[in-house]
Amino acid sequence: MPARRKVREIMVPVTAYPRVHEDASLHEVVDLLRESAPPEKGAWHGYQSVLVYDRRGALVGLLTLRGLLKLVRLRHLDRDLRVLGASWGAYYWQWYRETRGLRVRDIMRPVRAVTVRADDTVLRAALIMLWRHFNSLPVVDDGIVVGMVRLLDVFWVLGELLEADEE
Amino acid sequence: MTGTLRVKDFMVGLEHYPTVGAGATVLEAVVALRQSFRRVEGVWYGPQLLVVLDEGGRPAGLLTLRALLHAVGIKDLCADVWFRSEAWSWYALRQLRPDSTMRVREIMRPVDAVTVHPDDSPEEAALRMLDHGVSHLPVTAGNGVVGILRVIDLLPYIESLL
Repeated sequence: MPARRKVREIMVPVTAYPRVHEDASLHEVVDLLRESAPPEKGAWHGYQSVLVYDRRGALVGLLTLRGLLKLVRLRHLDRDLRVLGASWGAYYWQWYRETRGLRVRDIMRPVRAVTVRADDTVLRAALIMLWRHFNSLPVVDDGIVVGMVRLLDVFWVLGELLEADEE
Repeated sequence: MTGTLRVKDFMVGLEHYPTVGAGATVLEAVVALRQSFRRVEGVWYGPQLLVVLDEGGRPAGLLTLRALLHAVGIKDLCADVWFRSEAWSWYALRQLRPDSTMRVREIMRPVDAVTVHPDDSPEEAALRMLDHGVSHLPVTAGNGVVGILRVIDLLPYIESLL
């Protein structure tokens, strides 16, 4: 019965999910997202986030495509500041140095912020995603992150449920 | 070098997206979107939206996966069953029947709500996505919608800023 399906049955195992180190540069994240793209070009979506690990190998965060997009706003501000002129110079250069060297850890979402349990139902995962506006959630079992569940995975199962109803 | 690149250099052509008629039911849209999913090495891949066509076959709106999940009534459950997890899935099962009279045109985002032009800069497109909280923009020229721009399509541009 699709409605009884557990998150663990539909999640992507943590070992299969793209991952980076928290000290990695954002270039590495871009490369990783590109490599994880579906095998065919076009409208497909695979991963919209990567997992972030610290130097002890613990999972600490999640870096999303949307997080990367926010960098555009920073750059936009950057240009406006330049237009404002010399009085902003000192402030601007300090800020510029800080954002230029941005690392993964600076823009990731902490992994413990919102999670779902491996034994939760798929419907519960769907609710959290809609309510919190997330496209992917870490799946926790016994305090350990064991997988990731994406909106795509949830949609697949709920679609199964709706189509079954129809028959 | 991405400095001279425009939205048209990043977008994915409309022909790559699955479509559904504006008069289709929500359930028909769910079926259409699921059919465009593919499984590769155990992981699902798929588009996150359907292009909605009007009676004349012209793009009239975008229907995202998220909007479809909303339409089948999932979010309505939040208010009253959030903490009743024991009975939860059974309750939800009974509730999760899409209103068969609800049509795609009622829940789609009209193409002219937020758009971007093929000759706009990627920066303009990115700021529009951020301002409107959307991940997909229809790319509209004089003669209609020519493509869709997603956040992931802008990756080469974002990389040029790093």
